[in-house]
Amino acid sequence: MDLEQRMRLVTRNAEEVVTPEEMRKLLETETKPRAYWGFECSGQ
Amino acid sequence: MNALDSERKRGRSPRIMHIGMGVVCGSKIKDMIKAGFEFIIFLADWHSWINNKLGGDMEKIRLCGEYFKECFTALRIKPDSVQYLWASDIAKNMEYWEKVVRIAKSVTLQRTWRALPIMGREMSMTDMETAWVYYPCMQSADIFHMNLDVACAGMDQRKAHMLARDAAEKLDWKKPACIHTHLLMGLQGPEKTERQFDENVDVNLQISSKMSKSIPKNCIFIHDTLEDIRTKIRAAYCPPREALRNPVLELAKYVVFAEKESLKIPRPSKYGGLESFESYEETEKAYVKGELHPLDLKDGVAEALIEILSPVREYFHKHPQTLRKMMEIEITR
Repeated sequence: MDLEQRMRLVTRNAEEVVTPEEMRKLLETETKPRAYWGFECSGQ
Repeated sequence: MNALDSERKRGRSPRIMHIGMGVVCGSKIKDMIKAGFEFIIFLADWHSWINNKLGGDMEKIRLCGEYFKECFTALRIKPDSVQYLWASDIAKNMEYWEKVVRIAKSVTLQRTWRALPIMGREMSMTDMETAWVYYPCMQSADIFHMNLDVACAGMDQRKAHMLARDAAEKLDWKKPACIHTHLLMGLQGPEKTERQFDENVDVNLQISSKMSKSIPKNCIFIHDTLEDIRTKIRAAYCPPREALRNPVLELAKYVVFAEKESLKIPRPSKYGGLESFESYEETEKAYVKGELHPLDLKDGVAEALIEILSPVREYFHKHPQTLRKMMEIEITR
């Protein structure tokens, strides 16, 4: 997958990307960057 | 699903996942995996305890985390394509707590306060727990301790991420990039509030209007039956020709087109017959022009949601144990 495709996938439907330049640079330099989503285990 | 039905009859809000968490977060996680990321789904048990979720009972909190794992598996995030990590796994480590203290020393109390989860910010000092101040510092330390490049969350968590980015600069640690996703609006439509969650007016309205499990009729749960989904969407706020702050169009954009290539409108032939939209932009354009009627949009979105959530129904039909235990939490409380 080329850089543009990866960038499109990562940013699609995102309300905010902080920052798009940093994200692009990361995708350019890392093939396997690390990301997370944290969830509170809650009922609401 | 008997437990769920009996909860409904009691009029209690079930403690189950809604479509915002399941599909808006879930499909972004799938995007990130496809784009080559090593992805961690972090189950924040300690944070939930601090925030008094599920009565602050760690056993129930862990059960809820196990339930979330199953939900994501049901929503087709393959368990071997992500790493699940508990906050308690990293909290065992002394170096983690050193990071928490370093972050706490690098930011003012006022700044930490602003990054707190919503619940505490407007209470009086005498009703607040000191432990709450740990929360944003731990949230930042999590990012550094897991050596992350990118932190993902809903728009309501952006302040905690900004705090982490500032701390990174001060401490000369790797600064995380961030992806913040839209908070789905409740089906009732926009809800104004006097409360201030965010200085930005649009973000504030987004947070105050977000879909909440506490009002089941305004919320699509991932376990909703076909009839639930049709009834709720039929009753949803959907101003004609209005694209802004329209919860049904939001579902089309952030749920349907996140998971599918097209939106099919099952229109009776006397009103033009079946129609298919190939992108959200196309759908919105037709809606604003008045070429797509609110009722037809609702029917199309409801059927698409039913299809998207069908693997969840299948999964929990085959593996009902954890969901059943989650239901019992509410019953015995």
